[in-house]
Amino acid sequence: MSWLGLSGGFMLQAFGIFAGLIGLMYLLKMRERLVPVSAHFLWERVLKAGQRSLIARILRRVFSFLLQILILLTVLLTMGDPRPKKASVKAQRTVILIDESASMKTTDMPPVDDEPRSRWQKAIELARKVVISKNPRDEMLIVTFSGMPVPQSAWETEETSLLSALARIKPRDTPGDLEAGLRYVSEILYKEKNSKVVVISDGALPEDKGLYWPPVPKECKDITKRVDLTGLNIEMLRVTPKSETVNLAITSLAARPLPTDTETGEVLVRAMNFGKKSVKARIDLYVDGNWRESRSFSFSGGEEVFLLLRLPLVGTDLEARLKAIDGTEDPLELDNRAWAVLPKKPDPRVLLVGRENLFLEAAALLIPGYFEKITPDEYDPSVVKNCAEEGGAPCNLIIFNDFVPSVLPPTQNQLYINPQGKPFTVAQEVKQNLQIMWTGGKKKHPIMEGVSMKDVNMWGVSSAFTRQKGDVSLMQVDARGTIFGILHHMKDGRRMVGLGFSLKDSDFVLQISFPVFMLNLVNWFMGTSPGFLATHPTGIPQRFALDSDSIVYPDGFNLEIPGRNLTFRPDYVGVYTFNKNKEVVRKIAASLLSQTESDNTPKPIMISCKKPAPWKAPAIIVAKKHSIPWKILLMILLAGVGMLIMTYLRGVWGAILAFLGILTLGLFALGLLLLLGFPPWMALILTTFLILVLEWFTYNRRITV
Amino acid sequence: MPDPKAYVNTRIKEARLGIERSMGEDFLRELERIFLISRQIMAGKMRAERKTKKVGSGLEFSEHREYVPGDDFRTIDWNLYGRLEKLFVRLYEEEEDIPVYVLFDVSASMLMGTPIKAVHAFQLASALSYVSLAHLDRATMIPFSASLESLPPPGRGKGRMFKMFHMIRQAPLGGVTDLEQTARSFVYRRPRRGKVVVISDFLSTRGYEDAINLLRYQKYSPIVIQTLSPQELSPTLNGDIELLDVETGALKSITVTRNLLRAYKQELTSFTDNIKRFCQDRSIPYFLSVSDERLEDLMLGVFRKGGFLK
Repeated sequence: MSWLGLSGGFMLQAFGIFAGLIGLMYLLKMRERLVPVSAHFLWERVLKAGQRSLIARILRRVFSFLLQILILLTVLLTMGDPRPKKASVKAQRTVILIDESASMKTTDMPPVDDEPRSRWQKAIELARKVVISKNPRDEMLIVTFSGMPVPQSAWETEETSLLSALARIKPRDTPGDLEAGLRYVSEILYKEKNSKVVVISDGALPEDKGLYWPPVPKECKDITKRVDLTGLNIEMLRVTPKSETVNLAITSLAARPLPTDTETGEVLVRAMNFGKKSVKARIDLYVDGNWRESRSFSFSGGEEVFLLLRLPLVGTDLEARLKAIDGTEDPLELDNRAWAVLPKKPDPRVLLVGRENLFLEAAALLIPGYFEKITPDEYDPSVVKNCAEEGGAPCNLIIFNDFVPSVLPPTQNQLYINPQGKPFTVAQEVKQNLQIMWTGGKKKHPIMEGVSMKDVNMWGVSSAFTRQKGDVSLMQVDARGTIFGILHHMKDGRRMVGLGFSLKDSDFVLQISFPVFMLNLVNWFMGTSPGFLATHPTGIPQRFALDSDSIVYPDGFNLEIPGRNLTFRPDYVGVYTFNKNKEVVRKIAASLLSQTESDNTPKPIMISCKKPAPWKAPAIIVAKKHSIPWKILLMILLAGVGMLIMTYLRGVWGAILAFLGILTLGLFALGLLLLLGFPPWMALILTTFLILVLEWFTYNRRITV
Repeated sequence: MPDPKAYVNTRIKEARLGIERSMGEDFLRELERIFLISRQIMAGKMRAERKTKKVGSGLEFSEHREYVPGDDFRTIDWNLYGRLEKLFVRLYEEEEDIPVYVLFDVSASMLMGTPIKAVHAFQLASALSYVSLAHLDRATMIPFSASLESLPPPGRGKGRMFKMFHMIRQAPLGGVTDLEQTARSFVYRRPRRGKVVVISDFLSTRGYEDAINLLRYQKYSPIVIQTLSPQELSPTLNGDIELLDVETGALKSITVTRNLLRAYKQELTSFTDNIKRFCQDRSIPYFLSVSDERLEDLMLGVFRKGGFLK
């Protein structure tokens, strides 16, 4: 037995003081109240008829005193908060790993009081039962897993802290990743001998996340082990839906401007019926909250539907809503809506400065928007303000062909073809035919996407750059520390791309790649990259160069962002707005868009060898803790009640039995309360109360005088 | 533990104060009202004067008797002499007042209760005496405990009340009740035959039967009024207590339970029933008076039951 409350020494001192006080009060009580009466003789006649044993009277008082001492003792023990020593030595560490993925929002559990319940509510209920059934010294940690594991509490022994942590958690709109959750837990419980993991999930998890499940069967030894679960005592509590699950979901949503018509956007929607029966449905498209387009269709169980729709590129927030129109109930509404951000309508204003080059100009014709060309002699930095057009808007892209101005233009986006001086550091000029053997570069850069330079030949003057800090080489031949090729360079907030060769001395312009390169270049400069993502899947981290100071979440929550770079993981569906100085600089849409998560039919957790994990019925755990020896308790209760009834007997035996009866009933109450799972301090205080009540009610009813 | 003697002294002071208050004008007015009520009850019956078995100088004829020397010639019935030629004298009923002795208990036990039983007994005795005096009877009030200190002769007229009040002021309160000794000392003084009203709680181990019988044997007409306090009739005691007998000063430790209280009430009922039965068997009027009962109501009961005014 150990004491979590008052120390043993303090309890002894307190017992001494209060027992002394009780003794003093007992002695005072022995001095009976004096009541004057007219005559004794009537009372004496009455007493002659009843019990008049002096010993019984004395015994009753002594037993009453002993009961008071007992009550004092139980109160002090209560304040000491006793815990069984066994429990303190063999305290178990348990991690409750709860699936908080989007499928847990499915409302298909048996209703309570006609209120429909979600799988999440059931999961929390199970978790609460696990917490309540724990031993007092056991430590528990609550971890949730969806896209990534998140600890929701510290290691706690107090039930109240764990229960309040459970009350705080809300499911996320992301796919579940049990493997990541178990990996996290296995690291936490590394070499913990007396530990346990309780996984609570609906089983709607990706099947491809194969796991070893201990013990590892022999036939699985050759399979790569991704999570080491060896030594972990894992229990699975499954949230089982009441019936077969039906779910309609939008599994893809994308939007892009048409290359040939920048005024129009193209929207791709993919929807799937995860149920087994055929459903009639409709998809509605909304832009900035206003309806734009609808399509009705019918798809059978397991069928996927693709829709390609065109919308004018007006507005930013695109929302697709999927709805069954034949009355089918969809228990998971989360994936019936998807959000996207429409791309900006490109509006390039390009100024070409340099000598005439028909190939370059032909390629430039593909660029949508304004295009103007001037000779180097006509170039003046002031020309940039109206892009050589009387009353025109400033240029947003300048191409310098075989020409470098003495003063850099203020335009943010600049392309230098064969710069033979600043702003690039040119190491040398190479004046000979080259057999190009490209040695590296960032081929996945948006500018280089779809651009092949394998067969490009060059002759004549070319520039080799010295790479500066922050420069990105898009295509290169590395020769003694210099780079020969295409370089992206940043200077004074300007984005510059340099081609280390002249177009007239190369057949690059004759390649099919050249117009693609030019188009990519313009798109990249204008922010309309082909890699533009209209919507992001939830739960997947995105990395941004920070150009904002706060994010407004879909539910209105405002998050201040410190630092320069941001790794942002959208956990909830909707549109996130990035602001800088309270002005919108960027919008990001997030949607579930996960087939594995939308397929919310529970599946067995598979190990690598396709062996189902052992699901356990939650009732087993609860029943194990509450096995009460009713027969023994009933006997104690009957003995106590019997002895208390005997107190109505006269004489010494009445007094003795009264004392023993109260003690037995107190013992019964204490045992019952402890078995029912009450903490010892509460069981003791309730027992004390019962003893007090019994003593109070029976004291003057006992025939001992 | 409080001193029993000091406690009794305190009660004596409270009782004296209560008795003194009862001697005021308000109380006398109440007595007058009670007298008027008694007149209404007695309307149509004989007036206050009582007939006695004595024959003498009254106005109403009673019987004839042979003449003996010395008889008054004026009483000879000459008409009868004419028919029988014998001398007979006419006898008339003599009208006489009957003395009323009101003995009220002022022993220590009568000092108990709220209101104090002794004060209630005094008021009751005063009311009975006043009504008797108003009906032209002779009446006197005599406080007693162990015996009679004195026996003031019964007097006439309402003015007699003040003399009795003065005498009661001087009388000692407290002591042990001894009804037999009181009755004995009463009859030894050989007062005229009349009604003897005994007001007491009768809570004495020495009994009451001999005292009542003694009065009856001496040709007195006793009337018994038992006075108890509400606390005695329905005690509210509980738990371990020590009982103090205020007359004897004896102590008794008991634990009062509901069963014990029930038994006590049964015992008290049996005790009062015994007194009542004892009186009924001997045609003695018996009344039970609770000290918080209104005096007017009690007197009404006494008058209606009869035995006192006739």
